[in-house]
Amino acid sequence: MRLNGLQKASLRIKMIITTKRLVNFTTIVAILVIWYVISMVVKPIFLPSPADVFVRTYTVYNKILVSSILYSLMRIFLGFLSGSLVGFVLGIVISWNKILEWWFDPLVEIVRPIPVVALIPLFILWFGLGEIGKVLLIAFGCFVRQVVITREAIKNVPSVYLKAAQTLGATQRVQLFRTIILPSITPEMIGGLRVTVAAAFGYCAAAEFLGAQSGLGYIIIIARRYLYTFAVIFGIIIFGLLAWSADGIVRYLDRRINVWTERENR
Amino acid sequence: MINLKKLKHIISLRQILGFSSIISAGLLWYIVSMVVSPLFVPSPKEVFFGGYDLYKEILMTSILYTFYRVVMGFFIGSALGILVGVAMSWNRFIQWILDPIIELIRPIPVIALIPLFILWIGLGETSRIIIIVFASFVVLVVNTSEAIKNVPILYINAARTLGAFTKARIFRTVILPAITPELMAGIRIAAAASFDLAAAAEFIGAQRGLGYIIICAKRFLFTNGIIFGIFLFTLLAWLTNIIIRYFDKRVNIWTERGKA
Repeated sequence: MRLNGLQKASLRIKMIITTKRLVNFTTIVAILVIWYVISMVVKPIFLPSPADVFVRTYTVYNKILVSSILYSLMRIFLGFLSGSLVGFVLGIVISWNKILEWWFDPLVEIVRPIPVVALIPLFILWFGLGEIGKVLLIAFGCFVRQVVITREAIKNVPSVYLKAAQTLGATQRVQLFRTIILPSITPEMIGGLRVTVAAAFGYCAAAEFLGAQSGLGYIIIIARRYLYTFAVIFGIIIFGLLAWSADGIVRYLDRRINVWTERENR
Repeated sequence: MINLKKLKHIISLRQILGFSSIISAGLLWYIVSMVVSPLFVPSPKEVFFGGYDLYKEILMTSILYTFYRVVMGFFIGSALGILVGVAMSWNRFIQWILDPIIELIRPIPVIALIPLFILWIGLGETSRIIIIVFASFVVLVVNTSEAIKNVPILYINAARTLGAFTKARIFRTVILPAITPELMAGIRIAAAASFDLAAAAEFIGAQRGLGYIIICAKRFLFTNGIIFGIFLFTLLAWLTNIIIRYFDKRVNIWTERGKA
């Protein structure tokens, strides 16, 4: 069947505007409308209008806005990178042989259930209110998660793979790790990284609430003190946007690195 | 000879190594505490006995308050999350409406919401519990809908072939049992997150609870009190995890993981 231009165009429009997208879109519009309507009824202390959130926050905090976002991002980035890297390395080291595993496992099990947020006062006491304490806190949280994730991922490598490699002549431990274990754990590792990144944002917010001179969390907490609800909401939105973009980056890496895996709902 | 073999059977190398690593960690702490001022690293004795002495009057109530908040928030939040997650896969329209909302909420670090919730609901018990409800809810909605997506279509087709024609029946007999193992992962994540949130919420404004104890100790520079509070928090989180693991084993005994 041949289609003329008009039919083609209408078909394409139908493909782009599906019922699903229509419903999705209306939900988001509805949320904004409801927000706007409520903000007209309620006092702005409880819910400022969407426009207020952006305009008034900008007028009040324009001097420190960009630097706060950058400060938060820097802390999260440094903490996440160092923490998950060290965690990954330690996870590999622990899995290297049984002796190391038996030695480290109880220590990991002790550290693992510690609620990282509860450590903040201790870190402030030890490292002061500066950058180091916050970065170390985020790093510690990411570290613990990544050790556990790496350990689990290595445990999940099917032993058939290892036996096959050994049959085919991979005798050294290094060889086994490099050719079998590392490639086969990457999909799980990246899944774990997504969780870790999300957690890093939470730790950063908590650390900045409890003692900081800069950062998005600092803006939120001083705004709360002055009952500037608009800035509190603005800070939350920016935190959400940043976390969402970070997750997007990890997901992009996931698609690039794990092309070879067969996962259904990609 | 036989005795030695028996001994080997009882005390394996694994236990020796595990035991020695914990002992050496304790020793390291002790040695560091002798070198460094107790303001930074108090000795284990100061932490456990001193910390206990510091708080013995409010210790039990603090633990119970924190535990109560976590358990209430976690239970309500997970139950709601599982319900909404099931509802979303029950009906496409519900899914299309809720999907964008959840995608909007999901990336927000819940800790960042605490000041807003306090502004809205006040410093009382409700705002603290609702924060935990919210976090557990988000984790479990996503977890449930993912788990339902992962149910092999083969199971559903097989059930249909065998005569399960109503949606309710397929959900009850095929989908719900099939997702429970995956739900357990979400439940454990939600429980761990609940403790983080309880700590943060109690730091930011509470009159009771373990977080409050820690913040008070910080104000007076009682480092042993801080570490004791962290220890109690960890103990609670650990206990909760053990309870969940026990239920996991009971509920998922039929899966391969449950048998192992």
